[in-house]
Formats: sequence, structure tokens, C-alpha cells
Amino acid sequence: MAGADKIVQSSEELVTAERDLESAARTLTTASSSLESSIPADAFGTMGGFIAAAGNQVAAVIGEALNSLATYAETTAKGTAETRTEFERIEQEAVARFRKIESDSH
Amino acid sequence: MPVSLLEVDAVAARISSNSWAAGAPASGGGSSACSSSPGFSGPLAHFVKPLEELLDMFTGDPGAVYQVSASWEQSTGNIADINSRMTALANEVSGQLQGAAAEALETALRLVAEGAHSSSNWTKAVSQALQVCVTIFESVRSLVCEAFQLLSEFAGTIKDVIFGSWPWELDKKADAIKEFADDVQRFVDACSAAGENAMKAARELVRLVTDLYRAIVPFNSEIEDLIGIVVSLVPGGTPPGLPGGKGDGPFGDQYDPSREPYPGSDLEFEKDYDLGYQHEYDLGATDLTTAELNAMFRDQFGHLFVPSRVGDNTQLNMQLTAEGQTINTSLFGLDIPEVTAGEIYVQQIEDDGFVIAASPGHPEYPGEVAFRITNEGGNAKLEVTGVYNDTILGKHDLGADVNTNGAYAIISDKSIWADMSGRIKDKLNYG
Repeated sequence: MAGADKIVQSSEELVTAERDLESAARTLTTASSSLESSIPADAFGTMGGFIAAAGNQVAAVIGEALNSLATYAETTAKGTAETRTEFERIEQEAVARFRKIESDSH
Repeated sequence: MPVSLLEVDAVAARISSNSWAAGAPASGGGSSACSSSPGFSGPLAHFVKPLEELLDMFTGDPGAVYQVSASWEQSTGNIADINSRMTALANEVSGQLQGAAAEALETALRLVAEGAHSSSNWTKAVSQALQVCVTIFESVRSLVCEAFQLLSEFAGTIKDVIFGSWPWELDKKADAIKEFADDVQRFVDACSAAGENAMKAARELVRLVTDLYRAIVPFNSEIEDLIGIVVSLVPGGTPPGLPGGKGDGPFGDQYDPSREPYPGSDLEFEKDYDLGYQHEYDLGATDLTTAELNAMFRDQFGHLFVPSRVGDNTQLNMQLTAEGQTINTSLFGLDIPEVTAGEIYVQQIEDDGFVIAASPGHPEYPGEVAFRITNEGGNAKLEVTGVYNDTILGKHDLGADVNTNGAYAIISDKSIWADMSGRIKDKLNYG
């Protein structure tokens, strides 16, 4: 495979990664918000209030984990976009140099 | 896989195994359901009182538990797909791209895949365990209801003896009542044993859920650190803020805390304690002085001091006025004496803060908490330091040798003081 082809294909891989990471971030954020609903304190009767409290607390911290993962996915998508832009710049520069070499050799 | 995920997954697996429910009354054992006693006349009513109390204790709202936990569980289905997509993508990146950027991207994709997979398992484990737990509680209620039904039928047969026999036939009446009382006692013993086993299972579940909570926090911390690294590599990003913990331990937990929580301040604790926590919160820019910030807090105390928001809202307009003032408090919005509710009193008031102490009967008794609000270079800052000999979690862990201080430091931060700092911030921003 020619070097130029490899660069172009790599760039497409990065576009896919960027798009899928953004999509994952959205799904994780939605899932996190569904964990915000809480079990009423009296749902387990007067003796079981501590169960509802514990369940709600752990749901909240899982929600935080999902939010953190969403932020991580989103930030990585942004970083991937930056990397892709840089790849594209290098790619264009390489193509221009190839053309110059070709025209010089003729 | 991040190291902390292995530990969290292991705890979630213990919750899913339902081993915590061993010995609890069989779920679905009872067929009848009631929410009150059928009513027993005259001298018989006295004997069924323990059963009525048991019924009150175990009558909850199973529908609400199913509804909320089902909505949590549904989210797990949505995020489960992320795992396969991100794993496939990571394999593609690994096979087709090379270099440091590709390696970093592959690592990120695998972390998102594993994190999503694990989070969906944790949520599923907790949701299903809560559903099993509420079914166990319902079994106890059904058992009590069946006891009521049988006793009600029995009461009907002896009613004629008690009320229909001649007034001088006292022996006959006494024998009938004794027979009824003996039967009730048998039911009370059986139902109480079932109730105790159900509570034992519930405590075990809560202990595992607390372990899960404690294990997830380092995972969140790892992700936040990673976000910080990625953000620092991306132009224009802002690193995430610092968490509230300020004490020696990783979660703000303290051991052998000082009597002087804030060097340079007159605020102090009256006694020595073994454990504690210390958290600090940035309240944003302000033009109020330290004294003015504290005056505002004392004036708006009922609205801002989260634990004073007891269920009946009678303390909403309360102001913090003097040392010795007493305040009713409840934690997590629950009014369970000695577990989440109790009385505190104001021990010290200074220009930069105040100290409160728990009264006997309060879940944190013996213990004290010092609050300090200051203006530091135009930024308001809240500091909270709690000291005690045992945490609420430790007092209810059935004697297990577990250090609950870290977990309690997290719970106090996330569920009480972070909430209070948000309220103060809103007050400063919006008046």
C-alpha cells in the first residue's frame, strides 16, 4: 500500500472513531440522567429507610461514573479531531511535495 | 482494564449472587397482602399489637421500588451496546493505525468500552438486588397478613365464649382469651423471626452496596485524572475542578483529627476524637467580607443548612442566633432517630464560622462539626470538618471490622456538604 493511501485511510479511521465516541458520550449522558430518579425513603417501610438511602447513593455515584466516562469519550473525540486535522495537514503537505518531485523530474 | 474496575466488578458480582439474602424469608412465600389489622374487639386487641407494629414496619411501597429500579436497569441496556462498538473500533484502530496517537486512542476506546460494560453490570446488580429485597419485605408483610387472617377467624369462633357466656363464667372466658393469646404469641414469634431475618439480609445488602459505592469512587477519580490529561493535550480545554476532599485520606477522611481544625482561626473542638473528615468548597467570586458572609449564612440558616431541613419544614426560616441554640436535623431526608435524625446544639459562633455538637440520640453522637466560610482574595470558600469516634455506617455494621471512615467522608461530601455549598453559591449569585 502506498504511503499516501495509508494516510488517507488512517484519516477515515479517525473520523469513525470521532463520530462513535461522540455517540457513546451522548448515550452515557442519557443513561446517567435516568439514574437521577430516586427511590422514596419509605418504599421499604419504616424499618428500611436506610436501604433506599444506600440504593440512591450508589445509583448517584454510578451516574457520576457514567458522566465521567461521557466527558472522557467526548474529550477523546475532540482530541481525535485535532489529531485528524493535523494528519490532513501533513497529508496535503506530502501530496504537494510528491507533485513537486514529479514535476521536477519531468 | 483500570485496576479499580476489577474490585468494583467483584463487589457487584457478590450483590448479584444474592448470597446476602440467604436465610431471609422465601420471596413470594405469602399470598395475602394487607396494610392494616382487620380489627380485634375488646380484650383481644391488646394481644395483636406486636403484629400490628410489625406490619407498620414492613409496609412500604414496592411499586415505587420496581418503577425506579426498572428505569435504572433500562439505562444498562442502552449502554451495553457501547461496549461492543468501542471494542470493535479499538481492534480496528489497533490493526490499521500506528504510533503514539493510535495507541492513546485505542486505550481510550477500550476504557470507554470496559467502563460502560462494568457500569451497566453495577446498575443491573443494584436494581435487581433492591427488587429482591423489597420482595423479601413483602413476604414478611404477607406472613403478618396471613397471621391476621387466621387469628381473625379464630377470634370469630371464641367471640361467642367471651361475649356470649354468662358474666359469672370467668374461667371459661379466661381460658378462651389465654388460648387466643398463646396462638398470637406463636404468630408473633414466627413473624418476628421472619422480620429479623429480612432485616439481616437488608443490612448485608446495604453493606455490599456501601462497598460498591466505596469501590466506584476511585474509578471515577481515575477517569477524572485521565480527562485532565486528555484536556491538557487538547487546545482550549479546561481541567476539571478539584473534588471536595481536603483531609489526610483520599476522600477527605481524617484520623486523630486536631482540636483546631483551621489554623489561625478561633474555631475549635471541645473534645478529642478518633475519626473525622475535612472538605472544602469554592463558592465563587464575592465582594462580601468574611464577617458578612457568615452573617448572611446565619441569617439564612434554615434555607442553607441542609441537615436542618426536616420533613415538616418547621425550621425553614430558622436563623442561627446564639451559642446553646438547639436544632433538629435529618440526613438524606430520612427521619429515623439515632440512624439519620437527632438533635444538635450550637457550641461556638465566631466571625468566620461556627461549631455544632451532636446531642445524645443523634447518629453522630459523640461528635462535633466546624464550619468556616471565608473570603480569600475575592473568592468565598466553605470548609467543613467533622469529628467523631464512629461513623453512622460503622455503628450499623453489625460489628464487622471495616473502616467506614472513607466511605462516610464521601457520603458526607456528596450528599450533604456539596449540596449545602451549592445552595450557598446560588444564594451569593442570585440573592
